[in-house]
Amino acid sequence: MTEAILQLEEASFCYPGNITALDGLSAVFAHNRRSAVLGRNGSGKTTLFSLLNGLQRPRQGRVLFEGEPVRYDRQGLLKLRQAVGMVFQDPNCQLFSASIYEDISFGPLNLGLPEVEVRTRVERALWQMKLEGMEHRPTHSLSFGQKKRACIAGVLAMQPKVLILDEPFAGLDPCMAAEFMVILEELYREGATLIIATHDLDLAYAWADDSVILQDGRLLAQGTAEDVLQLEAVHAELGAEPLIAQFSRLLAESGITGSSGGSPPRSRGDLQKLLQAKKVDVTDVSGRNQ
Amino acid sequence: MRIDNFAYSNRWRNVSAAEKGLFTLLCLIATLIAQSPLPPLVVALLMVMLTVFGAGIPWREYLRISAAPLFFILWSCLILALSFSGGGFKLCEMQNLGLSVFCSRKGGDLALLTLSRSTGATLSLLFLALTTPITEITGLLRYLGSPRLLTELLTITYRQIFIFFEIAGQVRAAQESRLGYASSGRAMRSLAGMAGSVLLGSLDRARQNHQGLLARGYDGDLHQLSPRCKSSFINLARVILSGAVLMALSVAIKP
Repeated sequence: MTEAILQLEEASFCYPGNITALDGLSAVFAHNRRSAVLGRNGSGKTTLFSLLNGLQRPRQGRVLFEGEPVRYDRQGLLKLRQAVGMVFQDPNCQLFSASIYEDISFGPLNLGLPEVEVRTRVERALWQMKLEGMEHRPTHSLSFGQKKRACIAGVLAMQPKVLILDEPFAGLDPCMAAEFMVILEELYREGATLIIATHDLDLAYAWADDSVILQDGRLLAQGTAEDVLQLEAVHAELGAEPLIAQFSRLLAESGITGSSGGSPPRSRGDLQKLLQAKKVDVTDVSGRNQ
Repeated sequence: MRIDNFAYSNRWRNVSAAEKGLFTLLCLIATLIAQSPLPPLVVALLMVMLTVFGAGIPWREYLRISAAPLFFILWSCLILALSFSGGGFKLCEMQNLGLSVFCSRKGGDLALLTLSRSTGATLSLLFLALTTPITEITGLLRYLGSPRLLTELLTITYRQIFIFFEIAGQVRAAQESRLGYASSGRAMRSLAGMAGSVLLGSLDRARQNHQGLLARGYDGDLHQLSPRCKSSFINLARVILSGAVLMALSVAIKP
């Protein structure tokens, strides 16, 4: 594992009314890795994210950014929020202006950047999120997917090192989700650290490098997605197993593929390649073209 | 809502807000300094022409939108023309109240001037509202250095109106699908329930919005930058020239 960029040490957090959201949680997010945070509803994913972005302060324990404990004064928070961008699940929570251009300019202006630089960043973010030409349309006329992209553009314009996305694929149609995936991959290749919360086990298994599993505000498991998502305790907690993992295990057990030395297939494409290599006659397991 | 749609879809959508704003301002000044009803009426007519033929707002819609404010203006000016204290000729007498209603030449002139001024001013503002989206108007106000509080309120209120409609619409649909509006009694009850839930929802949403702003480094000021808009020199010259002519007209024509 590469060095940690964000880290929680024994962090606890309660909401008013003594509702425990996080209970002594320790977790590590490594630099330039794709992490998926999974857990059932109410397991503390969103609270974890608000701690990572400095929106909430842990009651006990601490949050470390690049090895240093987060300072909760104005400067410290500004520094953290520049480096750790957060995209909320509901775009309406984030878009405060009816003009997405104005909305995107909000973050970089808060960093105290000069106007020319802000404009360059806004235009770049619009281009990155494929929103060019839409900056003159009012926010309320945009589709859900477009609003979501506008939210991400607003965070990208701050050029964060870490991008935290709360359920980024929720509410997106498969085409939009696939497009979105490509955008995330580009960001990852440019060196960003990506942390997403999701309920989609298959997606987490295929996409993530690392995975953090929460259970009632505590850490259930942490490690590479490949290992963690094959643990039985994790399947029991989440109520499912990644389909591809299950399928390839069944194939191996029934002797069709056998135990190959390499890493197990994690996506439809991987599985198909494995089957073809084993000369199993399948025209198309994925049910769709590659 | 209809005004908002036109603001985004009219023919003059891409004319810079500065030009339209300046023109509106000059026309407003011209109507307000006028001493005779004629110049404001010229402004009003010009505005109708520009809005309907220039910006391409359908005249039926324009009539419908402008009818309400114009009706109010007409009504209040009628009252202004009347007086209870005498002077001019007596219109009627209410003996049991001991009141007489008079209409004087002076009152009539005053009413006519007020009528024309308010019509001119209203139609000028309507021109701006129908051709320029709110976001551009707030951008312009911000550029002109109007108080932060005002522009921030405008920005947030405008956005929240649409979110409010969205939520209220969803709640209403949910209630309607469970026969919440089947009878008038039920409708009242459902409406009350909706008001309650929308209020609670708004409080929660306000908290979330605040978090959303904090996550991007909000420090108490809503800093934002509007898209660059290109003002053409020729247009600006036209605007200033026509504005100046109208103002000169207002000054020159004495009652």
